[in-house]
Amino acid sequence: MPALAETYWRAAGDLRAVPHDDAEWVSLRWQLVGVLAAAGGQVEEAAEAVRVAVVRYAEADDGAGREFRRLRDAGGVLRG
Amino acid sequence: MTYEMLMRHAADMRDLAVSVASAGIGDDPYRRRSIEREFADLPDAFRPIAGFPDPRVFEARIERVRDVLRGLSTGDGELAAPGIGDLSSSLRNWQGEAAERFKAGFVEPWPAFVRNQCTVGVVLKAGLEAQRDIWARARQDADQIAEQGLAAVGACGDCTRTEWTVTFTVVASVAAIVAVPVGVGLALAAGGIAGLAQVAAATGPAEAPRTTFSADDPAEVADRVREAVTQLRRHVHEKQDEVHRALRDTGRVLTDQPGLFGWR
Repeated sequence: MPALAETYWRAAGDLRAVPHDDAEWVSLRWQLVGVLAAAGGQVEEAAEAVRVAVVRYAEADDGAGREFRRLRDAGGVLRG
Repeated sequence: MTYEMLMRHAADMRDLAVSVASAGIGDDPYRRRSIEREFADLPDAFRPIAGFPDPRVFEARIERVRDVLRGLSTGDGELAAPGIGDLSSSLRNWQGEAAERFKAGFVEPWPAFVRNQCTVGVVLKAGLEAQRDIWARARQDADQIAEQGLAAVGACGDCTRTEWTVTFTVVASVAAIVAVPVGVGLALAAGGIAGLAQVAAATGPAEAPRTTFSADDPAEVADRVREAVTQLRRHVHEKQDEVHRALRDTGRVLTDQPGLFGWR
């Protein structure tokens, strides 16, 4: 995902650098530059959200594993 | 023909018109000056055309937009969210509410967003291509007007009325780009870059109108040449307007429906 964010930012930068003096074209160009830059930001945000969520998920999973082992070792319901 | 050559042609036309119109007036300096005044502004009629942009400058711009589109593509002609497919498979073991939210809110709609973003890029590229085409054809038409005008002035001594036809090829320029179609759902176009190109491509060139001019003397030829230049400028404006309309309409889709492009 960081690579995708980078792709967007590069595309936004490259597009911004295209010289042209037609007002209508330039106006649409700026809109697309905005969209691409925002998309880069969203992808980066999403990447961070995934990272956090996956870490939490792994921790939770690890917790579930620990609980499972505790119950098993304590001779709880899981043994029977 | 370069625009410098065009202006030289226009000056030649003025000089020839003065020469033809002065034939038979003898050494009358007043009449000679009056005739010179009559044709003095002929090159000025072409001056706005000489200020038209050089179509060659568009090549590099088009290539740069093409690069941007290539950057958003996987390189095999498909549109791209390069990381999304990989991400989807690498997260297959991640389950639960957060995972579902992420998949539904990001992984699934994103390829359509990329497609729509690319469509706008294709419209931008088509806009540049259309403008390049307009200026190239306008130059061609201006050459035609100047060359035929010059020939018509030269033929004024003939017994018959001089006739010549100008084809305004600028009208047939591939300028009829269409804006992003509205209201067709989330995915605006299908079929990768090629499909998008079709969406934003020309709707097909219109037929080039032909106008026949006729004149009896150099003064009339000069009037017809001025008329032809005026017509050419009008056609150029009309084609430019078509391109502007497509760019504006596309911009309006972006403004009115940012959600189609993943813009929250």
